[in-house]
Amino acid sequence: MESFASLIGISVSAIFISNFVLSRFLGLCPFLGVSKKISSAVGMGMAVIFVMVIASGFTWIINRFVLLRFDVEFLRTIVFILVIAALVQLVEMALQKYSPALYEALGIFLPLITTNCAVLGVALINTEINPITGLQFTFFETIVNGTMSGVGFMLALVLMAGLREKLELSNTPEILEGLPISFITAGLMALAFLGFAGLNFFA
Amino acid sequence: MIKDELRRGIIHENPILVLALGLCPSLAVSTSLQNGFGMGMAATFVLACSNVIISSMRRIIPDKVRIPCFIVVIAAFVTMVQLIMKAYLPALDKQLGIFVPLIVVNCIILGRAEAFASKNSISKSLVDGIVIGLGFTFSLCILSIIREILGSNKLLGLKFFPGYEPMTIFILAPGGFFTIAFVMAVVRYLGNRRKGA
Amino acid sequence: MIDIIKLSFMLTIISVAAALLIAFTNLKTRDRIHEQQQVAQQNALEQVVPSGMSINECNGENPPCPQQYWIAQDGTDTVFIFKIINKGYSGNITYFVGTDRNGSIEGMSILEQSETPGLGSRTQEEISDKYFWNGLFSKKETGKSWFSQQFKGINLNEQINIEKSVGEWHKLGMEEKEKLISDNAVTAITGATISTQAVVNGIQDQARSYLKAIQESNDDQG
Repeated sequence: MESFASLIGISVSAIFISNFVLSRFLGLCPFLGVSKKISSAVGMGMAVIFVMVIASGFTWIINRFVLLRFDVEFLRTIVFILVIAALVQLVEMALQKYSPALYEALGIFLPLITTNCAVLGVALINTEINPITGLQFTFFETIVNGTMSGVGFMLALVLMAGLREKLELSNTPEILEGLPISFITAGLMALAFLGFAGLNFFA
Repeated sequence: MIKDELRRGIIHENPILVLALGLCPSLAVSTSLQNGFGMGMAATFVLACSNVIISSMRRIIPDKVRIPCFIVVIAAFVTMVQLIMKAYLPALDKQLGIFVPLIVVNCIILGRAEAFASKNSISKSLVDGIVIGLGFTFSLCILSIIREILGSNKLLGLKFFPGYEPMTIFILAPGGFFTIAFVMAVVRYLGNRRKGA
Repeated sequence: MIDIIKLSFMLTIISVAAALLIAFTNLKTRDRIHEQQQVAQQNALEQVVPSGMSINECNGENPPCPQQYWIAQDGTDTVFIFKIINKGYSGNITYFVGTDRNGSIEGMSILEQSETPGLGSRTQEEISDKYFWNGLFSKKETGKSWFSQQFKGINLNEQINIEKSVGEWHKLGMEEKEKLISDNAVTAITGATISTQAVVNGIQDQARSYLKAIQESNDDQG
């Protein structure tokens, strides 16, 4: 039961309290680059969730059974990024072969994901202390954290896309057009998400 | 010559404020000038080193696997920076946290490797790395100065305005977004005015 | 086929070279990193007690204690220092608490935390009274953070209260600070009640029981 509560805590924390984009500043490039239309935002969000879950699982196993076991933690960054790059490539090839429909939907986003700091970010966060339990992440918690961080990323991305579709139609001062007004919008969203920080799962 | 290059990196091709690359670290670590400058310098070092190595190997790296090769080279230098920081600047390393290893996926560095270093000579790539890195550091410093003064009424840990109650929101996430929006708008305004004149 | 072998060969060579470079850096910096951790711990320990006291590590056998602790001595004064790790807002907060035999806190200092910048991380904030334009080139002060200073004189055997209404400690006058101590209370960091609570809880839950274990063993010895 204890662990179930911790899973709920991790989920709420990953989606709302420390939202990857709006509170941790991870994955900003795709957040601004792929948020012009809701449909592409959904596609990108799905692709990120997909890769994050797989990457979380693999990097956790490698961290626990290779890096920590042989005391070569200093290789973590390089190993993780290679694993993620290889995974993205594999996922792309597998999708192309077995699920052309899904590939059609997600395919163009996959190559962008290797250099999305959200994916490497979640892998690195999973090696730290779990703020909910104060202990190392277990494998299952890692998977949940990966999924929910991805959901949080997608939530922010889709909300942003919805707002930007409306922004297109509005009258913006010339110097604010494009990125600056998007940043202000994101700032207001972050302000709203800051309210979740009061949710107390920690005491 | 040097002046032109510097102008290119800091003004015309400023990675953050003009090209909008490398946004994640620039918003996350610009909470104080010390952090912003440290991050900028770390990224500059990685950028210069990786540019040199990639440029020197540009003829032997097969085209098909060039991206993984670039990433490996960049990751090696990032880990070097990370270890050196831990050894000599442990406080800064703690403050920057996971954003030190995340330099690996900073789009500025991979972008310069792909767009510049893999096509140009070693010396040119070195200059490019340093110049773009300085542009990155420069914009990080601007963002950090604004955020540190407004958000904690401090600069480098010393008090700034007498009798000013700091707006903590500028240190927090929303303030980061607002600050960069404001700075970008100013840069664009200045650019427009120059074109008009 | 030849192509694939060539590609993987190239990639392997580069990876191995990169790994060697990192391993070499690791070899060169490993001792220094370890040393830095020791220095950080020593500095944090020294901030807990009045300067000039010698601090000795105890392995937890005499007097027995469930956890490793340190004893600082100066003539007849003895300060027990405990290392406390407690869950904060994002990750663990590690800190030292020094207390005399009666549970009156001598000092507190934060060794490590990863709280939100601008909120919880202000547990380590030092308030400088120097202004930027005249203080920049003067010697940097290594004062203690205001948050930890306010723990001096608080008794950990009694309930430690968290005062949220009077503002932060560093803005209070002498009288208000004395009133806080007589109330056995500390002020919360604005917007970071969870971090404040975590530090206080750690002291109440952990330091209190460690001190009790030491006291009991002393009583046994007569």
